[in-house]
Amino acid sequence: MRSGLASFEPQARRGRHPDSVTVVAVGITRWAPYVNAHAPALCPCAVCRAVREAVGEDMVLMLDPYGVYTLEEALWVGHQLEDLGYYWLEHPMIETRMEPYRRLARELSINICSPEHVRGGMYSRAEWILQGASDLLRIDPGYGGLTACWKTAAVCQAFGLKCELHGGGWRWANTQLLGATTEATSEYYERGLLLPGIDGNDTPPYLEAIADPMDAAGNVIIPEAPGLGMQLNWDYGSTME
Amino acid sequence: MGDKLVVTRVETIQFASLQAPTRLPRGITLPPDGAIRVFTDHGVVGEYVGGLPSDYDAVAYLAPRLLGRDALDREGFYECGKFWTRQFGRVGHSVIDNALWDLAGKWYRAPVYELLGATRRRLPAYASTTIGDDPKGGSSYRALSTPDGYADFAVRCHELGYPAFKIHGWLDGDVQREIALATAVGERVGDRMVLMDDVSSRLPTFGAAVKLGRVLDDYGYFWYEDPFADTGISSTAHRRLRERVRTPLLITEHLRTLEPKMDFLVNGGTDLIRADPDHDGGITGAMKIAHAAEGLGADVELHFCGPAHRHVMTAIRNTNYYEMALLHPEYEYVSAASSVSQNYRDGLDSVGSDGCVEASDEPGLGVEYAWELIESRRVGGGVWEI
Repeated sequence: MRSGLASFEPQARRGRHPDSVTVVAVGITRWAPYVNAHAPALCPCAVCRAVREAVGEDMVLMLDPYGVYTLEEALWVGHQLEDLGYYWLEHPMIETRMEPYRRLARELSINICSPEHVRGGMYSRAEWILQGASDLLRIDPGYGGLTACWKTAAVCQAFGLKCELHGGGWRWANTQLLGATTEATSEYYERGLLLPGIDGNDTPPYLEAIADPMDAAGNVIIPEAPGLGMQLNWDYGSTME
Repeated sequence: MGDKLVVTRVETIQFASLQAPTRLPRGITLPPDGAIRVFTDHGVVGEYVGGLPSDYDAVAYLAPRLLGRDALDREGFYECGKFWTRQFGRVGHSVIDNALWDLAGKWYRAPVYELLGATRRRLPAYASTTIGDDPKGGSSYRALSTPDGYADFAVRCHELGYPAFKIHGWLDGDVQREIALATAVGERVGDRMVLMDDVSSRLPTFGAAVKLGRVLDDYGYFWYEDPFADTGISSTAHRRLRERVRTPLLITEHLRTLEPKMDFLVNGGTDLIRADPDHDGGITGAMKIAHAAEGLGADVELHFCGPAHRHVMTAIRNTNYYEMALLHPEYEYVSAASSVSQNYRDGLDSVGSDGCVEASDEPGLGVEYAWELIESRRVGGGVWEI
């Protein structure tokens, strides 16, 4: 189902050092619909089916219900997504309890992508791995910074599992982190949040440039300036005083 | 910034070791040491001296795959090396990786430990002995032929500042002699030195490992390393040993790279994890092992000594001691880098009065090698160019 499988001999994306200039490509070949938190599980399944039918077989698709399901709902939705060829089911239930995730990951063949918001960084993620509570781990520079993500990536590599990066947009550390891991560890850049009419290409007034410009092939370009490459509009900040 | 540093040339030199004791035990020969240089189209060169002949055999296989790549793409080459050496022991890409880190440090004009996230400067060392002298086995040395000889050497190391002392016993697997050795050293310096025992996988049975382990418990040894003849690769055996012996086990020196080491830890086969920048995927691989161990609350202990080891240890929290190895009252067999450098040295007297060493502050690994000397002792090597 997926169009962009990991290459036989993975090439790391460029940009290992904060000072380095990086031009790299993170393929956007998927679309992750967010669903209404209060919608019954039936509704997102209809949405997911409509999306699959609209894009055809070749686009990688994921679903993120951000933790609103019960175990029974997550199981039911997960089986529907398996039939629709979705790649992962992300953060389907509240993440403070691991046992429902153990049961879910055991029962479903679709990949479970969690935990996203659990505290404890690499320590809690190591526990989730050993408990078999998810298939794809989640990392986020907002939780412990780049250093914590780097260490968590090593934990995941030790057990041959992926950790997918959470969040994009204003998070300038994210592209740098993807630049320093191979596709075998962290594959996709999450570009969003998008809506029809909001394509993420507009520069907000507090920035000189967006963090994640995208080329025609669907690849996000890592900033080339030293450090994180942030380009803030400091004048905008001063006008707020 | 952001330039791609294209690897244009890889050069290796294997050279007759300069660190041999003058009187080797009969039947023991030292392998040649190895040196590697990685050249780029931007002029910056990465250098490393270290590794075993098996590493350099594999370099001949890996070097063509490095040509044309970005020298700063260490993570990508780690994956490449892991894949292409998967069928023959995953050796060889460590020395390349270490040279690439040296190159990166020189490019960014920073010591490698800063690129890794420096967390300290002084690294407490343990004096790690050679194997015991065995006159009947042909050794012409005598100082480490008895338990008291080891105890005398431990006292000397303590006077030099070493906070810790590790014994490598004899190679005949006589558990009663190993018990006498652990007892003599424990009695003499156990009240003032941290002690470790590395039996080099020579005890013949699990039972012998239990016997010696109980003696180490009595003397409060800090770790018990590779005790018996499975050669440190059975997590089941060592989980059972941990149920019977209180002294923390240090196993996994003989398992290559990240994944099997962590499986061994998770399966309860060890308390401390071994990592070696010369054999476990270089500095890149050693950092992965340290970070993964940290995620499980475990400490990593670096095996052997050398400039890469120092930079890695400087950037790790969850580690205890630098292995100054191998030391003998009359000779030493230490890092190959130490034998061909004017500004880098491992050896008995290379620790400060606080028993610590440091990594270099110079760019890269900070070691200046005597290339003419290395060349003059060449016994093999190769050149790969675009």
